[in-house]
Amino acid sequence: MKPLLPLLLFMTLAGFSSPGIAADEPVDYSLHGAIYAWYGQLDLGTTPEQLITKDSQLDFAEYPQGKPTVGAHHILSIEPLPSEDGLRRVEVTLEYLPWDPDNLEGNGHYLIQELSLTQDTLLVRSSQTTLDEVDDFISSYREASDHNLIRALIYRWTQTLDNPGRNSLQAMLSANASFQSPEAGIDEPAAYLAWLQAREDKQSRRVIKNLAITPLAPQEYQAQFEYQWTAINPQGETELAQVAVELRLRVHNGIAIITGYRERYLPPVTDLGAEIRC
Amino acid sequence: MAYLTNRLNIKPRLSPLLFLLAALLSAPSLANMPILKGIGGDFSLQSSKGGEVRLSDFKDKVVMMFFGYTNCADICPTTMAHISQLVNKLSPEQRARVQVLFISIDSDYDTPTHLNKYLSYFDPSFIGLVDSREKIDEVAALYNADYVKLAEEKVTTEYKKLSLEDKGADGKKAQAQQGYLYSHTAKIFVLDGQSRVRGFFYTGTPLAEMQQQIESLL
Repeated sequence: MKPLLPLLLFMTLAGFSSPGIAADEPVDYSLHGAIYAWYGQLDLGTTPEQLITKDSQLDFAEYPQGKPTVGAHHILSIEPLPSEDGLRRVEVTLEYLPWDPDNLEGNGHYLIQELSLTQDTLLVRSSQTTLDEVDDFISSYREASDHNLIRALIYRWTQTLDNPGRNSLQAMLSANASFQSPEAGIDEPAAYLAWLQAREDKQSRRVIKNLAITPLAPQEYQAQFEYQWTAINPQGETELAQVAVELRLRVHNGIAIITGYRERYLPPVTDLGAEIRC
Repeated sequence: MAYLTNRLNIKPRLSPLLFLLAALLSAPSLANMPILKGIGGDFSLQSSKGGEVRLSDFKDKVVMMFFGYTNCADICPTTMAHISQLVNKLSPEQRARVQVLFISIDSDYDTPTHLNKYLSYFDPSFIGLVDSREKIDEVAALYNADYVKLAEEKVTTEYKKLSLEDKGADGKKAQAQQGYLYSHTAKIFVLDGQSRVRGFFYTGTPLAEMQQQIESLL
């Protein structure tokens, strides 16, 4: 027992402090939304002036002439980087596929870019390519702009639901969009936002799980996912909900918009192994 | 602790560490039960104690609710016995603030009287609820409590055999009524004093863990 005890202590305490088993860093949907919007707009072939600062420094190393042309940035990962200058810094790993109307197959690029964005407005201040490796294999061209713009919209929408006092949902919906909240009797976006605001949650966090975007027709899509919603109510109690979300979207001229939205509560996830049925 | 350190021949300077280790290992495995949204709601059903009761009648009490049926051969009696053991671990004051509800999914067979007798085997304070199939289905839907009748064949279980010992009104042994078998959820729904679903127990949930969670809601 004597030699075992220190080992047992070490294993136990190491287990409590090991970064290897720590929970994943929560996704910052505002930041990720800004990054997806950035690449979604770039993929249209122009520099998105509305998303950059006046003094931005953008190397655009993936483009032959250093100027954006139509292409497809498929985001593989977004990693936050430490920052001391008040900017938000991230490292984005991407697969970039240049668009050639005469040849739908070509060499893609494995890209790593460091972006710095302004703290609150999340405008791109700089984009620096740290790795641009041309693939030694041929890939078929796969469009990315619409998906990137849809993700940006979903992230912005999620952020609005979690911070109901700050922004409106209306700008993200088409004029005649259908809307169904998970709460009985609330089928207007403004009413849903008002209901969320009236809850006065101390903290609200929706985590997106199993996002699937499916094309329905040219420029029209369906997106499905689940929200794992955790809220701390004014009494300090934790509330949990699983919410199924189904959207219809249209993407036109670089703008994604929701044409139909439906949320419904799902049964709580339970331990199926423990749930014996007779 | 001294007994343990002596027994294991551990040097005294290690005792605080061992104490820390023991404290870490014995900490409750679950945080306090969160409120589960999108499930639950008020309802009214016929009570085994007579009359109709609403869930909201048990406001300010922690409710443990189970969907089952008296003809169930295994999980229902096992679960009710498990809950009974838990209730017996509570102080009289705590017990007064806890209510166990057994909702029968077998409205073809179970009656309030029948439920009262069945539940009295476990704890006379347990309340059975039953009603028309439509009303039971509504409550089951509110709580996502799935159940399905397994077959159209009627069966007789051990409990029914016990019922055979009962004398009928004419002094003869009553004919055993037969019921159906159901597949149903084995969750024990835990509701707080505001009738909000706070989580689930199962027959396999350790009593100490159940007790700690119930006490956190009282």
